[in-house]
Amino acid sequence: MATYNVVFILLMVLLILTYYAYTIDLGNAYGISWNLVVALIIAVIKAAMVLMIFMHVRLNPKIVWVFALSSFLWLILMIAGFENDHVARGLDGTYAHDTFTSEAAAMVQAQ
Amino acid sequence: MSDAHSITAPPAAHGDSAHAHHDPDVPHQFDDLDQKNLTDTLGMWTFLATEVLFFGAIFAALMLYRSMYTEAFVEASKHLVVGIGLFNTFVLLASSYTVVLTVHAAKKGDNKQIMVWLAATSLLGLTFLGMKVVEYHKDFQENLVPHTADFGISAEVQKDFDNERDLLPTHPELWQQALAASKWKVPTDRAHAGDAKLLMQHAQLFYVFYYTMTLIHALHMVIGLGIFAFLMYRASRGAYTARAHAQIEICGLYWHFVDIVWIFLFPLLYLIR
Repeated sequence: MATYNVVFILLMVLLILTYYAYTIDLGNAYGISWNLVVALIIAVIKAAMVLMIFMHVRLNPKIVWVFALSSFLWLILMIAGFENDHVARGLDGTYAHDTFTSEAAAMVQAQ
Repeated sequence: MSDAHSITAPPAAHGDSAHAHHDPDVPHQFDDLDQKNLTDTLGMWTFLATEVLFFGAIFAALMLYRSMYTEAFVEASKHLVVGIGLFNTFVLLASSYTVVLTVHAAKKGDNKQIMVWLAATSLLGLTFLGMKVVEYHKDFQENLVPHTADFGISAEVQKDFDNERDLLPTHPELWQQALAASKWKVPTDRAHAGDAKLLMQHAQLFYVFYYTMTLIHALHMVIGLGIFAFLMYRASRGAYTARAHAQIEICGLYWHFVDIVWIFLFPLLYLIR
């Protein structure tokens, strides 16, 4: 019972943290929106706590872990695949510095 | 699989045969209570896995368009009311907590407590839906409805313009001025009217995602509230015991899942910067 209370308070703290991370601009170094990364990390921690402790997955046999986590794993693979495809098309100049021929580079620079 | 946990041992009443005695809480297809509980849990998780695929596909599309039209999505996200989203997240996390208390009461076989905590959860769920209605009302006042000609031009700003027909992309300068007055970061000169138009089209795409995702999520919540009403009815009939309360646990799993979806929805829609 005490665990549930602690987890609830932690969830509230993380929610407040989410809001503060949103008010700070972390910039775009290396072309990655760091605000997004931080927001997603905090969301994953919150979801993990709800999953493991509130949904009792932590106490369940490992077969339940497989059922619970495999769909999220697939989701990560799908999003990674989508982003990979999008970047590889080179349409919005994200990887302009990676194009090897001068004509292709000129085409991308012209965007 | 079955540990020597006394609560799952069948009632010792029958003095009969060599083969398995009948446990009234375990239907015939199961070996013992542990197997039944595990089956119920796995069944619900299978369904939740399909829900992850369902929401996940829309999330993936949102992430893809966000990386394609980042500027427009940032602009569009600024017009959402973060305060209401924050409050709703808090309400849903609290409702997850009350569901945990419901399951805790179910493990003790206390039907009255179950009803109390289910009622609390339902109340929090209704609060969430109520705030969504308020939020949509605000969004409609700002005219944040995709595929309308005067998208993004709030009702107040529209009053300052004499003729409604001026507020269309066919009259660029007035339209751009109206958008800037409604706090959109669009270029206001005629030369960049095309850019403004493109930005607003991409912003409309964001709002398509916003309404689709939040409405489907709200639909899941309404279904969850209906399920809880049914569980409350059964609890009022004293249906749950310390040994046989699987229904409460697996419906609790459903509600936690709806909460997890919102935990991801909130930053990805409201906090795009």
